Amino acid sequence: MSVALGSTCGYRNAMLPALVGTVLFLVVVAATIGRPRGIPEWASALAGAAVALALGLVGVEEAVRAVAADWNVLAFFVGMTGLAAVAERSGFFGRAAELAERLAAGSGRRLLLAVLGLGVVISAFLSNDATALILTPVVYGLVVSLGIDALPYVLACTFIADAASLILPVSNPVNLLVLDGLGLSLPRYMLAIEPAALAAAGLTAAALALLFRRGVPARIASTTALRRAETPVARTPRVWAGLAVVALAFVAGGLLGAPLGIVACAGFAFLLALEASALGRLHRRPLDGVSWPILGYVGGMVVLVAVLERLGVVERVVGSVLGWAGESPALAAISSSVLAAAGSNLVNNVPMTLIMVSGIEGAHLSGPVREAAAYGTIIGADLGPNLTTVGSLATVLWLLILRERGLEVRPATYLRIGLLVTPPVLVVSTLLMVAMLR
Amino acid sequence: MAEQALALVAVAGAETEQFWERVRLLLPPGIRVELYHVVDEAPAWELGMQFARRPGHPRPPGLDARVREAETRGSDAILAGARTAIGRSATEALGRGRPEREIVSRAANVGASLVVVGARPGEDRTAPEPHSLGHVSRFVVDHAPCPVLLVRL
Repeated sequence: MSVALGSTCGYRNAMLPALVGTVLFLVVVAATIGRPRGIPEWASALAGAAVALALGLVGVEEAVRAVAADWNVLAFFVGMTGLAAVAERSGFFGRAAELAERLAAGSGRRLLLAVLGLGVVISAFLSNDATALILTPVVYGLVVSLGIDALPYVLACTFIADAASLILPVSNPVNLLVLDGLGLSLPRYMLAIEPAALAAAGLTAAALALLFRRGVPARIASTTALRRAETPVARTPRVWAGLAVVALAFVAGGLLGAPLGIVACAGFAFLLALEASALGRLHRRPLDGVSWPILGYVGGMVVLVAVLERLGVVERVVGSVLGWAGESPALAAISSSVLAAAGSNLVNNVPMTLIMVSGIEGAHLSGPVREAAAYGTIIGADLGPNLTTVGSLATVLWLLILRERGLEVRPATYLRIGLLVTPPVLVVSTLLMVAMLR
Repeated sequence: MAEQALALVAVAGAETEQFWERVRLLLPPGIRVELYHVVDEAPAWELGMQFARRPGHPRPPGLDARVREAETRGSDAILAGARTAIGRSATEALGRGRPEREIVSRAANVGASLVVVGARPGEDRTAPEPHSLGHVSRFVVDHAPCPVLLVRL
């Protein structure tokens, strides 16, 4: 019974399975975003993949092959989240926030600029997730204890995290998903994308500084700067030096085309060793902070997108958009950038990137058009989530439900900023990338 | 003894020495004073959203405690600063939520006769400017159940 759906219908009469596959995908996406009854997103994604296998929408071997093809990205997630956790334990982020405070010299505006600068550097070398998930709470702690409105600083961190995530292949896992999936050269990517990457980070930082200039105090009043001693964090400066080495390894690995998942895991091991040498023993739980659930989430999504690909759904969506672009690399870049950005806001950028990669792969494009579409996808999937900083329109709907239950939420601020800042940054970056491709 | 009138002084942490000088000058001597600070929940909420929008990255277990701890440190410092600066006996209260709404409802609940809020200084700190009322003060001016004293920061 379980295999009936896939085998009898197959490719020739794919209407019903295509419909079932699409509905399954959308239900799983909704569950990963809304998390009904607190079901974690990795569980929804894996359950969705299991259902797809049980219905025969995709074969076991095919599913395994699809997941295995993304080994580098999966390894990267393990290495990078582990690396960031060791960095946090070493007091690196706290120290960085203190540096920002010192650079600010009592000016709220300079503090905002310093936080933005910090966000760019951390996103570039430790990925956007490190900025959004580790730097943001640290900055919040700092700013709140200074007794000033923390919202501009928190929003600055969250926006710059994604805006700076084109700078290196390691700045956003999505970059690796595309580069690996389409077998593109890392060095070429870095050359083609760098002006666009710097423009995206610079323009976003400038726009945020401008938008918040009245919201941050010109002077941080001395009467309220009665800061108590922070809870002491173990400071292991040799880990900070190790971080610099890992950062260089990421740049070198990118330029030499090394698999960055392995570089990240090696860097993680290296930092653990440095930490152990400072502590005199290995950290009690060395793997703490590695986001294992991401493996389940990405793995499940890879299988579900393989279903969509197999049933011809991806071809219909991505293929038709790319078909419109024809033989023009510029049009292919622009259309894939817009599609990836819009899709990222609907279903989150990881599944959307998988869909785009599969669509570009299946569209049999000529070399330059394929490359332009790939880079366009990276730009759209990296910067697109900033359109609605919550990452997906579905989340906004979910927030509205929360509000009905009496939980006060204010989507207006970030929606306004996202809608104002992101589209121009997206357009400028895409055009710069197209110009570099020529 | 008749119930004494109460002035609710909203403190956000950005108050300057000049602000306190003016408040000390303008508050009637007989009035009771309550220093009220509201922890704005918006930034912490925005922080939590970062985990919601990044599937596969669970919220670390100690995060909420760290956030609360930082908030307490901040609000303690703000209230302590205000206590010293106002230079007279005053009670203190702490709220959570949207500052503008909390200030207005606190004023209603305690039957305040006056609410004191700050207005932003102009660029050169000498003259008022457009937008010198931030959104919190603006809301309080529009919705307070009692007279409002606007004092330039």
